[in-house]
Amino acid sequence: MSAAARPYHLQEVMGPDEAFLLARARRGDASAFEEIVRLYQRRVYGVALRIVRAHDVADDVTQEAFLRAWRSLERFDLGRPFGPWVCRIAANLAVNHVRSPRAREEGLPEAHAETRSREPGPLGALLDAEGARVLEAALAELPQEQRAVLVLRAVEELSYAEIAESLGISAGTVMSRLYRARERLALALRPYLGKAAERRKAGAS
Amino acid sequence: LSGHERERLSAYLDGELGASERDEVAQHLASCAECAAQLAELASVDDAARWLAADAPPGYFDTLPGRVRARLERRAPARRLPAWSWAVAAALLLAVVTPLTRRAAAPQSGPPAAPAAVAPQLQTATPATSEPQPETTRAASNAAPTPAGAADARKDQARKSEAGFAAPPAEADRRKSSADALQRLQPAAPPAPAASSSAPSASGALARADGAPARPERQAADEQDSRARDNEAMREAAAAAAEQKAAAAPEPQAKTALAAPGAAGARIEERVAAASTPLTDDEWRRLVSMRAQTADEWRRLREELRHFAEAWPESPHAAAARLRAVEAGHSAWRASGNPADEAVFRADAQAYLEREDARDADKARVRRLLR
Repeated sequence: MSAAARPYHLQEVMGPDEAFLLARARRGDASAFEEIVRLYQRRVYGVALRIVRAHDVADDVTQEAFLRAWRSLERFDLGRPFGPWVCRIAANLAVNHVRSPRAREEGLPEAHAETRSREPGPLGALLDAEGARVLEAALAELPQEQRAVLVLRAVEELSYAEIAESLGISAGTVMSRLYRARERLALALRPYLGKAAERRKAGAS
Repeated sequence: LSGHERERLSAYLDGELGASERDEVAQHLASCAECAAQLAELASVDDAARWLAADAPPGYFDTLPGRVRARLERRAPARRLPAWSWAVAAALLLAVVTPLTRRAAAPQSGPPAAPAAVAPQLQTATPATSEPQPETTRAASNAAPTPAGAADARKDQARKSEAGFAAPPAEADRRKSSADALQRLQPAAPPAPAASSSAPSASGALARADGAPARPERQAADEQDSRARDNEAMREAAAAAAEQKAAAAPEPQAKTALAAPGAAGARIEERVAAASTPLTDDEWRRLVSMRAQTADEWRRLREELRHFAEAWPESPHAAAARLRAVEAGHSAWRASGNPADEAVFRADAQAYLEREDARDADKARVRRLLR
């Protein structure tokens, strides 16, 4: 089972418009960078929120990720895709944010009451309200390091090497954390996933 | 199933196993229903994680870019000493020295007409050779271990932009754009007659001014209208010339350009007639693949984009070209810090905002540049 083609929002080929904006931003043009933020904000915020699970923290992380990207633009190779780069910065910040002493003192923030876009995806169609709540709780209970790895793999579709680099861990650690995160979620979701799994099996054979 | 085997399944799902291990797992999966079910379950977990969309409070994404930008400007990178300070020094020196030498050679009553600005026009009119920048060539080798489709697409893009660089405009094209730029920059007031004796590099411009060939009406009228801007352009050209003073002398190319300005004018008309053809698409592709870093490169890009929009107003890319020309002008100004670049940018931006055919979103972009 090879990795499927990337969904549109993850496609790494930079449009000419983005390349143009990045070249301008690199010259210190803040308005060009503002456009870049506009293009990537949802994706970066998505990574941050899925890891830290609170809007205020995700907002902090998102802003900080863009600021760091701005400061490092000089070193950024314009031939590379910008999205994965800035998402990796955000993931790293998110994990370290949660780990910071202040965050530990205050405990994990309350899960942000998100308004979900419930377009029925392949799984969304199968999960009822109860299943969604269970999934939410199971995700919230994952150690943040495991959640970060899962988000970068499942949502951002980064390779193990890329995840390892952005979180400062080894590829072996990525593999085991990812496995443990999937195991825990699978355990919680098994009653709800049965149908989906059966459907997959039928499709695969 | 042992934990180790399940971990292998998880890595198999991600395509992260070595070739031999992968084949082993694949073979096993074909005959073991239990493992196949496990694999499907792991994949469902990823689906679930993806499905939990992360939405922000209403309006959050409307304000975030502006808030990030506000923080950027507080820590904007330190500006180096602007390159144009040299240009100003050189221009001042010329402005002081030239009238003196002129008065010594042939005393005259009329005020000298900005002699410093005449020579640099030639340099501005000469397009810099488009050299491949290392970035684009790196793009191909950069293809990370990603799905084959994405990598291929990226390579394809790299190939395209390489082609854009590797194939500089054909000689005829280059001559044409030189001539066009020359015409655009032609000073409204003829240079002072004495300039030829004092400023040797101005002789080319003088020769052109003396035997100025008839230009298309449309263009002549444009120049009348934008006399003020031409003066700005000339000042900018003076700065550009000083920045380029170490570069090779562009004399021969400038002469070629002078040889056929009339023909170039006629060609503009042809190009207007042939709007939106594969030719314009190729030209557009070339323009969007151009990368600029220095003030000169941004100026050149600005001029090429402006030229494109003027030459092919019916092209589907004309609107984008107009917007990008304004943006490139902004970058030229940012890169040089030169007030002349600022003036050109502001004039272009203003003209853009007054256009009725420009999209609101694009106008908003231009307004943000003006902030």
